[in-house]
Amino acid sequence: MPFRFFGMKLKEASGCAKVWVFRMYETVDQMFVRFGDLVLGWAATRSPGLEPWARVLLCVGPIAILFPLLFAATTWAERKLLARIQNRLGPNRVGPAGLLQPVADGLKTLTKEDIVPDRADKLIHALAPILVMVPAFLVLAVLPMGRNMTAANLHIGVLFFFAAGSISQIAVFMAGWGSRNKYSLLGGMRAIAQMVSYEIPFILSALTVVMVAGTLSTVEIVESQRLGLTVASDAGWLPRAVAHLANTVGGWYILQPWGVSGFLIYLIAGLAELNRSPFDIPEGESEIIAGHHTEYSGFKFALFFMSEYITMVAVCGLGATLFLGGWQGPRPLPSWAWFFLKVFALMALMIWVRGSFPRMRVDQLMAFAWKFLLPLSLVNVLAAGLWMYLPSRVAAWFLGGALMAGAYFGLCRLVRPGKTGPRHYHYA
Amino acid sequence: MPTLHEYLFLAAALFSIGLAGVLTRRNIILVLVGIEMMLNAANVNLVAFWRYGDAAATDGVMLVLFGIAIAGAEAAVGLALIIAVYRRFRTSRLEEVAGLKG
Amino acid sequence: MRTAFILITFWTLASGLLAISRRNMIHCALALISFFAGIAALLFTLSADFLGAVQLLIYVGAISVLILFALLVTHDASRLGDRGAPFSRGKWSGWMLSALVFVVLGFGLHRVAVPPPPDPAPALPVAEIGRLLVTRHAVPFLAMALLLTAALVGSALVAIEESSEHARKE
Repeated sequence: MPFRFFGMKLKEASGCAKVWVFRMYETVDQMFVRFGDLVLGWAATRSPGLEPWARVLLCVGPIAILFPLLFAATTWAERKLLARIQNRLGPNRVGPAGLLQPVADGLKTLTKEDIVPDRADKLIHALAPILVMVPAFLVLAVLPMGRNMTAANLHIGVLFFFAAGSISQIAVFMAGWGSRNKYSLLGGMRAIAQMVSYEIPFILSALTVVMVAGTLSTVEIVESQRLGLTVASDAGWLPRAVAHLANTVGGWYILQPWGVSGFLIYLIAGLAELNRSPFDIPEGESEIIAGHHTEYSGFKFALFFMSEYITMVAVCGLGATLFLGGWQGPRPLPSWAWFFLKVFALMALMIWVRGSFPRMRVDQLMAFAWKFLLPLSLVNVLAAGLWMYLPSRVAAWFLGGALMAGAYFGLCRLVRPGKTGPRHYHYA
Repeated sequence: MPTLHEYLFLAAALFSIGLAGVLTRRNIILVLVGIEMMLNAANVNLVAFWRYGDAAATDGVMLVLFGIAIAGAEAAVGLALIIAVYRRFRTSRLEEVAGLKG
Repeated sequence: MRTAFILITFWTLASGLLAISRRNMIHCALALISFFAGIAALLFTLSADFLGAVQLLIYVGAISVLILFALLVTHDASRLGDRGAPFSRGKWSGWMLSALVFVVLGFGLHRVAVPPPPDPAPALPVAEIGRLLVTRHAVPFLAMALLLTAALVGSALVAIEESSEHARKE
């Protein structure tokens, strides 16, 4: 198969420096894939029964090694960034700029005493931190982390992400109920109610992308965000570079009216799904200690902590895949670098939000999900439908934008903040 | 690949377990749990028939999809009713809910 | 495939039996969730991936949460399952009857010849399911939409109904 480079067949121009640069780029871009192929080929020559196992190992191994490391890096980055926002220094004792702080924290949690409350339901209390890791790692399987770099290219990828992610609610409930502590139970129930409520706008915002892309496969969604502009092969470097930029960036769904609002809804609902600030009511220290984590210590607590951060990476990864073009990005950065760059940018945004917004109240939280976010995401689905079926893109842009703006301002007027006064909480 | 018989036997066993739950438990919610188990067992049967039969006959699979949606609605309404019953009778045990006009 | 099926068989049977036999009702509900996940795994082995994922999303993600909430709302959370006998008076006839149903079903199945599985597995792509929903099954699809909306509003109404009364009493 002849490589195509800026619309030019490479075989006709082999030998020149450009081709060499392109080959280099290909090698760097695909180096993990090539390495995997090498391992698979070696396994196939050793024995035929080894190959499927090697394939499984190649899919699971990198995820199992990379994401815990990423978790460590994220905790450090979060503490540093929050410190910057709050005008302090953050961790700076262990290693240069506090970089080894996660290692110290890990050692600390590993050596801490594991305390199980006397009245706790021992089995459920012990199972919860294990179960909470399952969805965190499962959902990573469908994220395309680079060109040809998806652990499991399922044709129902996006649905799988949400289906596997819904397991975490059960784990949170088990932690809250199994601890036999009223703060744990309250925190767990708050977390579940919040996750169930925000799951609807979360899924509806992803649904718009699925509608427009016409597929549930994450790999195909990324590919559908690439434009197919071509320029003449004898054009100068400027038009070719512009075309390349337009091809790799212009197709991102965030550049469309329903995409902007969809992305914002996705991000807000995602924050709530992750129980992160400003939606961290389930763990609000000032109200219910640490919610469902209250009775966990040592390594079990570390597992909860880790699953939260890995899920955060996964939600950011799906956001990048759905709205920011996934691994698409202009050269010379390789595809996997683009993916992780976008993920880090989204995580920095989440940390920024955490540093900037105060925590919401329980009743505000539910009202926001059901009265504001849900109708807005339904209108967003309509806007995506307009984008698909209106013949003129310009008209669709203005109509969709006007629709979303109208819905936003209309809902802002309609949904008045609830009266502050004495309030009865019957069940929460 | 397991045979169709094995799937059908498993589904029959699961259905019977669900039925036993419905017949023997006192709590309304656990009766609902039994009903959900029976529904699930029936779904397995429908999908197994599609897998082992004519691939073009997709009505069974679509029926499963509708069945899952109905089960969702049923669970929501059923549990809301259970909560309403609990408010009136202060119990969720079946034999204590005996009055028609509380 | 074979091993997976055997494992899932034990998993679903064990969690099903636990779900109907535990005294503690939260244990029952958690066993039921494990049962739902087992059914999803069965659907995956039957190469119905879409249905398996829907099963996980709806049953594990939504219905089980409803059941857990209902259990906690209707019980004193610290004393779940400690009150009275969990099984009804006619439990033995119930067990017998369900065993009889299994025997009858099994006897019926035993006598029926079944075809071997077609190879490769039939595929039902998501796009095809979507097309069927809006063509062949359009009417049930619309009815389902109405039903779900009615169920959403109706269950909220039924559950809230007396909360104002409740508040007045306090």
